[in-house]
Amino acid sequence: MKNIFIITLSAMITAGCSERVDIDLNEEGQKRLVVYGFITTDTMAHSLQLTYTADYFFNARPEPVPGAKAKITDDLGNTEPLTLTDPQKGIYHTSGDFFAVEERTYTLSIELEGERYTAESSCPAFSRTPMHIDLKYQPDWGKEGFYEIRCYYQDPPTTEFYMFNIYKNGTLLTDSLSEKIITDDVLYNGNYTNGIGVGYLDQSKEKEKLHPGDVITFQAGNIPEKYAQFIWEAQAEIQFSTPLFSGPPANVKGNITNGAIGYFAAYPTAYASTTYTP
Amino acid sequence: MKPIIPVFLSLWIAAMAYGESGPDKATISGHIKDKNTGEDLNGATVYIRELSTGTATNDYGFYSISLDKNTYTLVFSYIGYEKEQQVINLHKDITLDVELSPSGTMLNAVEVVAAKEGETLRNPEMSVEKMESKTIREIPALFGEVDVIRALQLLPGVQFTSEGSTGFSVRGGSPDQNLVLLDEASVYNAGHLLGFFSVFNNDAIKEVTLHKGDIPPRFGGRLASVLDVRMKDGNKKKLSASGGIGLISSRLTVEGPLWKDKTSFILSGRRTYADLFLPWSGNNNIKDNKLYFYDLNAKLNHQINENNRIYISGYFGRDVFKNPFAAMKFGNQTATFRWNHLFSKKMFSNFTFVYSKYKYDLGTAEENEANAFVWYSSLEDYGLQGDFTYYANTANTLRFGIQSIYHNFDPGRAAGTGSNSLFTEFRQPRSHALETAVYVSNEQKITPLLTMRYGLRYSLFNNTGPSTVYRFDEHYEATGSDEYGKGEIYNTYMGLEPRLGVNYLLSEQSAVKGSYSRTFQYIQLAQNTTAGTPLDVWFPASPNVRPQIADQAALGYFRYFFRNTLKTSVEIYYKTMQNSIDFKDHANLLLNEKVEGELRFGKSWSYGAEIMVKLLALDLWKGTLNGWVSYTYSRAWRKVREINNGNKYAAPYDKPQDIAMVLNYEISERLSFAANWIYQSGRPLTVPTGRAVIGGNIIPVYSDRNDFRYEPYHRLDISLTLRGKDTDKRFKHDWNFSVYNVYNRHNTWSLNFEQERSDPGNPDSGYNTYVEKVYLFGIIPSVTFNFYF
Repeated sequence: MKNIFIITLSAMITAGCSERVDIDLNEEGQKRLVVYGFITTDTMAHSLQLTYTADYFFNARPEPVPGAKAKITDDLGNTEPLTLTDPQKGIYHTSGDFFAVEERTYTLSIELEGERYTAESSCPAFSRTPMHIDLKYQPDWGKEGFYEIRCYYQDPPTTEFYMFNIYKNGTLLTDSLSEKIITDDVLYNGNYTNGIGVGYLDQSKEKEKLHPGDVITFQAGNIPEKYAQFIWEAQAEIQFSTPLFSGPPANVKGNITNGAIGYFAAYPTAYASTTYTP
Repeated sequence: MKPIIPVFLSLWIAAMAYGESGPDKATISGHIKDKNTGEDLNGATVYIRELSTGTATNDYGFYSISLDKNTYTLVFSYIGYEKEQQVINLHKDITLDVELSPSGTMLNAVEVVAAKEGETLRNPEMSVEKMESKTIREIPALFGEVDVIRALQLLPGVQFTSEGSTGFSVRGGSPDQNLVLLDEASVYNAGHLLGFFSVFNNDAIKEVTLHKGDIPPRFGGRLASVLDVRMKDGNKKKLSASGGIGLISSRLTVEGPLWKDKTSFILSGRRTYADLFLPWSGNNNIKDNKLYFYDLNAKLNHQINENNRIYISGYFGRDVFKNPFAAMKFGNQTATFRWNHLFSKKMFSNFTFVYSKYKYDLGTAEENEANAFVWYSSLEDYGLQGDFTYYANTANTLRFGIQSIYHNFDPGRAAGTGSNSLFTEFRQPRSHALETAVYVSNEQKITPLLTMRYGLRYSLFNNTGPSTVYRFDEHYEATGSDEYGKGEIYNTYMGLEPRLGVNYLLSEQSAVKGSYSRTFQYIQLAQNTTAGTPLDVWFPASPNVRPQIADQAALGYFRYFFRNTLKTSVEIYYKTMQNSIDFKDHANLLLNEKVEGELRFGKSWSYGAEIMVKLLALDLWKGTLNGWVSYTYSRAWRKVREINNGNKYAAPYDKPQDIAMVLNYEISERLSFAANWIYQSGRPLTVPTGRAVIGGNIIPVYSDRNDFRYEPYHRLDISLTLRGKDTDKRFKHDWNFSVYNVYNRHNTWSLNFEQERSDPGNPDSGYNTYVEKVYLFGIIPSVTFNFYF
């Protein structure tokens, strides 16, 4: 919540002019493994992407890592192998009937060229009380107004870190890390979230513009705290930076061992939908 | 350290004994004032021709000097004023108040400098810069808004934190290492409009003094500098007003006597015209937005009798922001009550009570919605101090005092505002602290050529309850917390801070000076950004945070040329700091109850050389030229175990090269031209060396902290002042035309590493990364109309 305010404030004053410049970076040339994947309580083929880092100005798709042996094991000893499904992108998938179970701990292990990389994530529990959403038009925000997605839910007394995703007619709108809304519940812990804003649809963007009959689906994930930190840090590095609000840039802290970059997470999800009627 | 105390004590006792008024001695004392306004002149000199010695007035225009009974010629002088000479037959204590007339032209001002400069060369104080309101007014200003701090940033060793900001770094220190005082009250956030303007209204200011290293023992609590801003007392002779209309703000000051020569007041206010930055914001809903600041300075002084004067002064300022999402207010308020009392003609004292508060609140624009909330933060100070000066004799001036400040920190609380609010109140633990100090110092003329100032400050810091203090393990994870009751002292730090200054006169025109100082800092700002914001919160030393300590040594050579119209100086310094604070990567410093867990501690050090050539006046064609050129080479480093893999890295304000040229040319009585040019190395930053694609975004991969620099910063500003032809009339006016950034250089404010899809329509396409430079100000012309009556 606090972050939203800071972004709003910085938008108010970052009114200077900008121009593209060329700078010479001391690029490192050294390749490191990049791992990113998550498993949720949804039954589906969950994906894992393995790529290599590149020089900062390497303006092409990342180099995929097709030759790894990867698997996920839980603390009960169950093992789920990951199979390469897209060698061009380095994407691996679980089987289609896989799902994570709340309160189990999952370990991802990757073997690649004699090196072993692992990551561990405990899937938190989700308080499955009724959750529903509605839409509120905010005509003053932006060029053509925004629809604010408001959520009604009884937050449990424990500390939660939520990740919110928005789907329009089944298509994920928040499809990149920078678009995820991550929040803790420090300001409303244990309260009924009586219409708190959880997503925003900019009506000047075709992708987000609502038409009668559109179904908006809201996904709430109760993510591990460290994963929330990871996304916050990644977002800070992607965001526009200003001397006023941005601290010194720093590497995003992941949970993969052996010098690899990235994150592997397990978390539960819950859904609520509404159909848009003007 | 301990053996130093007896040494100081014995020196002090010796000086006191020596200073006893024998039957052969008598004291001359009084105040030196401006003849037109009755305003006290601080730092004016009294020179005794027969003895080739002298003294200077203190911060209240008071001087005192004890001499053998005899007849003396006293010369009273102050830069920019006609000197005054009086022959005194001294056979008993006398009070002699002197009024000096401002000199009409610059040339007259120069004639008086000879006596004064001798005194400056003898003064064992170095690394100090003093500026008067008038000098500040002559410097071309951004948007035509004259600004004290922006003027100070042109001095060697003083740098802005980022373009346009009134935040400043002294000798590589952080902005929170500067003690900013307005009539002795701490100002905790000296910026308006997110730092683009300082809170100091030049019309209400008499003078500013910046101690950038050799900090006198009467000051403490910050490592890098003391910025001592003193408000005008108000015209004691006649009612007068002045004001100005600029592009950004309008100002009005009224001052005058309430009781002639006894009581006077000054009232000064300014307010910006709303919405300066808004047209650039790209937001369609500008109409309802608010963006302005105002401030008000007021002061009243009354002379009860020859031995007692009181001064009451206050400042109040507010910034207001509002857009459809959020509303924000922030500002400082200060109040100072001072009582000057003369216990005797040789013993001057001043008792001060100060109150200071900085607060902000930030909330949703809508107040009644379920998710409306407001977030407050404040810091409050109550201070009491007594400062004493004992003018023992011509060779010894003793200063001692006691100071105590009670700090009240309310770092942050947030709560819902609507009647059906979904928010519970969140509160960072409040904390309280008492900062106390005693000091003693003596300025001693050991031989006619050698003067020393030695002093000791003892500072004591107590954390007091009620408060909650978290305990942290070696990984900075909170393991629990302790509760302390009201008034309970749960943590104490103390420090001995020796201060030493030596001055050796090589000739009438040159001197070498040396100084050493140790300073302790017990409160600091949780600021992780270079420019800082009004949201940054001060926090005290605590069981988890040890006080920062600095040791600084400096050496200087001062040489005057051409009848003292050209002053040159070279100073070198080395400063080392312990318990320096930096923040962990991606620190969360706001509304975080465990904010102490975000801190990382290490050491820092800085060194540099500052060269300054200052021209007081030079006849050039029909006019007079004055100004200065300064060059600084400096470095500032930090080393913190958890940052940059424990390797040293450049401090955020490390800018090795810094050149400033400031020029003012009085073309005629009615016309003057001013220009300044600055050049400095770009500030350091951390840049990516690689990239990783994660979750549909490019995540930069960094190597070393602050391993890269912005391109050098440079800029030329000019201004032309045209004074009205109404020199003899009661109403006077002038027009000031200025151009900021004349050659329209796009100096970097920030560099952004941006990414975009190489084929925006295709979610499978790769990314292009590019760098975008943001600059704030291109060429900015402005005009200001000023009036005086």
